[in-house]
Amino acid sequence: MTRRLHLILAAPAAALLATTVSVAPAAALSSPVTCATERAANAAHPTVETLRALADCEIDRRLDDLRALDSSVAASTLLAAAHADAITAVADADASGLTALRATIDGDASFVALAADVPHIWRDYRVYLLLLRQAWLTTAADGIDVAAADLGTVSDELHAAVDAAAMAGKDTIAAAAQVDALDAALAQAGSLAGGVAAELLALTPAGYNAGSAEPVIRADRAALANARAQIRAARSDAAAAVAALRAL
Amino acid sequence: MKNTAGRIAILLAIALLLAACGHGTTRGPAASSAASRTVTAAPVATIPAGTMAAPSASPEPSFTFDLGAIEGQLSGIDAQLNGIDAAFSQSDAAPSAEGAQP
Repeated sequence: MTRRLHLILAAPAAALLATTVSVAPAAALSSPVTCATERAANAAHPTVETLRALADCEIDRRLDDLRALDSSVAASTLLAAAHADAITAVADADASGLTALRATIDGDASFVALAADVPHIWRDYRVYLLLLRQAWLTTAADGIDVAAADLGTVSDELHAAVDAAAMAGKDTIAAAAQVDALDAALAQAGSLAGGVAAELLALTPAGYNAGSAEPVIRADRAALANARAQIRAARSDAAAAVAALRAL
Repeated sequence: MKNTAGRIAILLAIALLLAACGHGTTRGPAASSAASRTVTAAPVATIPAGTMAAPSASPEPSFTFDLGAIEGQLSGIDAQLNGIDAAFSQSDAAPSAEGAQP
C-alpha cells in the first residue's frame, strides 16, 4: 500500500507563530562627553568645587544608565529569570552604593578627602567596563540558549517530516542531510555557549581591577560570537531542509 | 364552383402555413433531444490547495506536515537573532562610556 504524503505549503501560521523578542536596548548609554564641561573646568582649575561637580556628574550618569539597565532587564524576553535577577541585584546594589558615595563626596570638605573618594566611582563599580558588558553578554548567551531550544524543536519536526516522506517512498537524502547539519550546528552552539553566562556573572570589579576579568570577558564574547554564527547556520540548515521537503 | 375552388385554395394555403410552423405536427428529433438532455460529468479527483499529492479514491493513511508552521518558528528565531545582535552591540558600546578617572 502506498502511503501518501501531504505537505501543507501555505504558511498562514507563520505570522502567528513568530516569537516576539524584546531586549529593550532602547536607552542609549551616556558617555564621558556628558560630563565634558565639568571635566574641562576641573582640568583647568582643580578645586573642591570643580572636582565635586565632575564627581557628581559622573555618578549621576551612572545612576541613569543603571536605571536604564534595570528597565532593559525587566523587559528582556531572552534573559533567563535567574540571570535577570542576578543582574538587577548587582545594578541595584551599585545604584545604592553610588548614591551613598555621592553623599560622601558632597560632604567632603577638603580637596584631599575628595580626591580620595572620587576614584571609588570607577574602581568600586566598573559600571561600563564590567556590569553592562556582563548584562548584555549574558543576554546574548541566554538568547542563544533560547534560539537553540527552539531550533531543537524545529529539528524534531523536520526529522518527523523526513521520516514520513521516506515512508511515502520519497527521496529524502537532501532533506535529511540538511537536518543533520542543523543538529551538528546546534551541538556546536551549545558547546560554545554552555556555562558562559555563569562565568560572566561571577566576575567582580575587584577581579576587573586585578586584570583577571577582562580576558574572561573577551574570551566569552568570542565564544558567544561563534555560537551565534552556529545558530545562524542551524537556522539556514532548517530553511534548506524545509525547501528540500517542499521539492519532494 | 368558383367559390368552392377559392375556398379549397384558401384552406390549402392555411394548411401549408400551419405545416411550415410545426403547429399540429410531431416535434422533430432535435427538439426532443434538447428537452431530455442529461449532463453526465466524469468523476474528477479534486486536489486540495497547497498539497503535494493528489488524493486517490482509496482510503489510504496520509501524513500531514505543516511546513508553514515550521517557517513561523524560523521567523521567531530570526527575531531572537536580532535580539542577540542588539545585545552584542550594547556590550561592545559599554567600555567607551567608562571615561577616564580624574
